[in-house]
Amino acid sequence: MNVREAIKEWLQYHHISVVFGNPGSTEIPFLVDWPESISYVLGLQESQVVAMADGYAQALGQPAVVNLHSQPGLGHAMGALMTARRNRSPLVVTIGQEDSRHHIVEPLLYGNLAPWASSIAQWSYQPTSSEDVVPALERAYHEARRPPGGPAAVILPMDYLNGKANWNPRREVDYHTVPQGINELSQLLKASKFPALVIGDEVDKEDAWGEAVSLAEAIDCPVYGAPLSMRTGFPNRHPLFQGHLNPVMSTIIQILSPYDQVLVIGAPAFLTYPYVPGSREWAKTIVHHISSDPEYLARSMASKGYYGSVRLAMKALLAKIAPKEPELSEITLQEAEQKSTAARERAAMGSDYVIYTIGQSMPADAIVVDESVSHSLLLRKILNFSRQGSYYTASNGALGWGLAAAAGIQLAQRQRRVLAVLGDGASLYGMQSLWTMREWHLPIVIVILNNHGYNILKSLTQSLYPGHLAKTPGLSVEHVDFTHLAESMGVKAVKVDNPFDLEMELHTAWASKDPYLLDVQVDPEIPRLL
Amino acid sequence: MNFTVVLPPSSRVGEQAGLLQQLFAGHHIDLAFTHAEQAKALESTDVLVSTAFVPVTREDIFCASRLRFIQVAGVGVDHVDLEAAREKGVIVAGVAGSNAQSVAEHVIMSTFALLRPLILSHHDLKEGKWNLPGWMGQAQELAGKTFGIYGMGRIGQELAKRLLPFGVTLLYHDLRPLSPEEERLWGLSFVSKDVLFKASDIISVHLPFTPDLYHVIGPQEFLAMKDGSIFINTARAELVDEDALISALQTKLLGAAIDVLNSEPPSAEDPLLKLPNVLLTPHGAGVTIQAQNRIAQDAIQNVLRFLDNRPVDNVYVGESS
Ligand SMILES: Cc1ncc(C[n+]2csc(CCOP(=O)(O)OP(=O)(O)O)c2C)c(N)n1
Repeated sequence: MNVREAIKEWLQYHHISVVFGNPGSTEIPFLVDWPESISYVLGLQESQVVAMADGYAQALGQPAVVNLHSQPGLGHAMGALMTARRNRSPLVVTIGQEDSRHHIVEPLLYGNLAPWASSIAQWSYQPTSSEDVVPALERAYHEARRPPGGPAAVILPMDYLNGKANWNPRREVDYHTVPQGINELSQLLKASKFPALVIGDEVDKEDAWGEAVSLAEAIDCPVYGAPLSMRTGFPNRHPLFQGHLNPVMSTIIQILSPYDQVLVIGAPAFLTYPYVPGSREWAKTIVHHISSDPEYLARSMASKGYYGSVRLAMKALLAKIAPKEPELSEITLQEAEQKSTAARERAAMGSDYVIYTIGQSMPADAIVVDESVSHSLLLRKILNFSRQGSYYTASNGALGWGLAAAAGIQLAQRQRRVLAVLGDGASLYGMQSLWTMREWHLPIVIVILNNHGYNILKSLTQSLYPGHLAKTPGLSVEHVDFTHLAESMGVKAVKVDNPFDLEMELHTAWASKDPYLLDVQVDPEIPRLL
Repeated sequence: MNFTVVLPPSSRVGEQAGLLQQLFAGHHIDLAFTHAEQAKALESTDVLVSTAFVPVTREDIFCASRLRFIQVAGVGVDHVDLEAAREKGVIVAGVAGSNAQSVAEHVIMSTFALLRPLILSHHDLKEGKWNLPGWMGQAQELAGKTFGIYGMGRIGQELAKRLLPFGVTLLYHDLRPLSPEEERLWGLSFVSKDVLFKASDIISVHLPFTPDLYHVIGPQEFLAMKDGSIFINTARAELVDEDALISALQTKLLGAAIDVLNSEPPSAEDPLLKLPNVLLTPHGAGVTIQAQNRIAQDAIQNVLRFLDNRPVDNVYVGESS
């Protein structure tokens, strides 16, 4: 069997039915004689291709395969690979390479790719022969899953794909471990007068919402969302839920100081932005930290870390802590507050109103992809997330991820609807993904919260350098015609500038069987975020 | 035709009489201010324009042999014996709720007056006390507070619409919830009565009175209310157990604004008068000059309809045409 055939068999062996890519000459050997059972999803720029695979891998909970075009393609992909790395997203990245027989003369597309890719990959390797290719892919598959998870790159010289394959998949690896020290932790939590939980992305990734809710109810303590968490792991309408922590260290310390024991589950402790002066010391609060990511633990601000699966850890804690009866209030006042605020801002198309209205329109099990930037805090507060896999955002603040990730997520989750909410600025880093959405008839509702510029940067400028905004260039993005842009790629789009149209168009969008874009003219008022 | 028009005590008689003569030219008009004057005029009147200041009793109705139509110029027809009117075949009509906006404004005024210790400060200052520190320790904003409206009829709705821009969260309770569409537009969340009393920083009552609502707000409701919250009643005194209100004012409430009292006017010993944190008004929340004018207009329009044999509006007793 040649390597071309063996790669396809290997894909099928792992039940990989979708491969993402953008080809060049060096990828032709990889693509030729493509089997019908595997979808090749074409993205029109490498950053998009990687972000699609990232979303797909996260939504499926399995490694995704993405194929890039040698040195130029890897170059374009680097930012998105960095994001996938920070997202702990398991990706097998194959990168085409010039024929090995003329590497010595540095042909056009050649690059020393393995060391380059290694700066963002968990593992990166150029096979030494054709026989080495499938074993390298197999190793990459497990390397990508290795905690914390991330890209693993395999460089594929063209000629190796024509050679003889050695193909011998062999093993399953279970990386989940039960953290040590859970017994003592359960004692501390039971004895604690004022405990609190902070819930992060790993809870969602390990499908452990149920455990998190049971644990919170058993301890009967307030629960916070980790700051800027890339995923949501707790129902935000639950009476114990207090909202997401702000990504400012002094604020986090201030909010958590009243508690004697704080347990951070499956999140960095803590992800902050921007820098605000202040102490990083805790007064009396003891912070515990459970994570399956050794990097999270190594740089944690907790005094005690527990390495392993958050789901298994919570299960073990639950076995030691007898549940109390939760006291459920009839409504959360928060919902009433949002309703009043939305009504108040309706006429001005204020953010609260727009996001509230989006929330009212969306199906209960919708998946939200968030690249809404200055609106993100509001969006996390207002939309209702009630189950696993409901919320995704890039963990490192990279723009250009959202549209592509939405496409990948929708491909992995055909039975749920996907809503992508993006800033106008953010959307323009990855507009090509609309084309892929249309080609695959992905019924994604895309909402652009259009304030004609980089409002978060304006907000930051105003608070860091009051009075200097007018003389700061590069923060406005005028004259973009989003509806024509979308329609040029076959995506139905409407501009919405009043509440009546918003309410109506959202209905139309959700009824659509194809992607549907709303260019929503939101109140451009610059928010005070700091 | 003969008319009897009962005027409020404050009326400028000359002006009103002139106006009425002009409107109802060709008819005879008697003006009355007291029950005795009304009773006398009723002996020969066809149309009575009635106000709440003078009751219309069974005896009045049966003694008025020519009486065919009672137009009430006011909101509420409690002072008219409707049963007697029905038996006698006299039509009774009212006016639309033209005082809703006045009541709503009154509630908002009272809210602000209590949140800032307005009255106390004003009196302090007039007595020579410059108490800025006291003020600073007490004055509060309305924005951010939760406002509960108990009873979502016309007045409740006018109140909600006017409150929304102040940055409040609006809760309400009523036997009949609004449509989801109305709730969304006005930013209102329907909650149980229990949650309304527990969660609100300010509660304003806008229920109509029916016997089953007697003391619908009593010790239990005040117990549920938050410490430091505000209670406002511009609806009907019978809805509220005044003793329970007084004890809540003494123990937990920031204050109350009460427009309707058990005995009106109150006796000099009425304990409500002694409390520093209660704001009292003489059953006048709905009685602004503008509301009175609208009521007068509505009442006159209805009488003109009656004279013209056109259907009358807001009929309580009888056929509308
Ligand atoms: C790849 C990349 N380039 C630049 C930035 C810097 N950046 C952060 S926020 C932002 C503006 C976002 O504007 P928009 O999406 O319109 O959202 P708004 O702040 O207006 O809500 C920019 C350019 C980034 N995060 N990622």
